[in-house]
Amino acid sequence: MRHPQDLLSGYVDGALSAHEAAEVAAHLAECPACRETVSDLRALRRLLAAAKPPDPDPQLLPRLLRTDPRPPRPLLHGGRWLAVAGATALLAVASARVSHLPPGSGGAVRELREHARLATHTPLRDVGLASFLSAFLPDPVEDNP
Amino acid sequence: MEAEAGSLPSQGAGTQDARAEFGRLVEAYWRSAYRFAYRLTGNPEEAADLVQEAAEEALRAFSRFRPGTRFDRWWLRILYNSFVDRTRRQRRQSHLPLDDLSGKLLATESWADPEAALEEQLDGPVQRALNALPPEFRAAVILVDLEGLSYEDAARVLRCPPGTVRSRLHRGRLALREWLRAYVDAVRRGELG
Ligand SMILES: [Zn+2]
Repeated sequence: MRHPQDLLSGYVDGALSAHEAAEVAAHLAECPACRETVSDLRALRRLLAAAKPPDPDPQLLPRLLRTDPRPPRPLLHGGRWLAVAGATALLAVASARVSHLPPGSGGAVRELREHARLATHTPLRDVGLASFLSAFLPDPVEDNP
Repeated sequence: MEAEAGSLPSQGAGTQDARAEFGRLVEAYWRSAYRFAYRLTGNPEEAADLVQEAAEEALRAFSRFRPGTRFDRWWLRILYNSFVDRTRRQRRQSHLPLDDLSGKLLATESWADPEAALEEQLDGPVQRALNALPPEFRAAVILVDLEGLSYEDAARVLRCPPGTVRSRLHRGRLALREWLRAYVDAVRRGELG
């Protein structure tokens, strides 16, 4: 039986099309595991909604109202430039590795996973994580063009 | 008034009006900006700093704000952008892998006892669990589950398709469900929430 995965979150949120919702409902009638997940997701949503963050420092608003427009940030500056250079280098390493694989090899996913594992030990872990997750998620992790 | 704000010159006569309008909008929405920043950073000082930075960016870009669209969403989008830049610069995020659902977070924390969890005290465990999520997943959960945005609005803030919000949200929730298992069970038993 194929579980409807992230449709379950959409179902709990009432964010599915009528067709999708009917599909999920039919699956839930036959799948105790997904029913359990749906009950947990509903409980989690209540839990998260109940948590109250601390109030902001009252001095923040007056500070915000005195805001000066921020000068444009230099493009090639410090950490940002290093991050770009680092991400480019990582990308080059990852592509080089993948290009050594035979065409159509399922090893590409393993390579990305390994790359991501290594990258999580480097300061640029977010880059590694994004490429790791993009191998598994149905939708692109990177931003919309 | 509102109609003029979209075509304000960056210098000159309109500047004062724009400045006043900006102040009015900041005053209306600073609390929601702060909540988002606090949930993203898990730290009051850093959150205030992030809101300040986003306000500076927003004021600088204010001539591009389209009146009639929602300022709070636009500001959150700028704020999230600053946050992403910042996490890349600071390089000190430590997230648990999403597949590590072993409940270690619960086992090593003294707050695993749901009996002790009143609403105010709940904030600590929830925030620690959020901190452990990778930032993109954390942001999706905060916007939808804590701030009540629709997938479409969250997608605009995060600059990704609504389908991406849905999958990030789902994977983030599955991780939180395990990390906050004791609390989730307490809610299901009707003892909490
Ligand atoms: Zn199922």
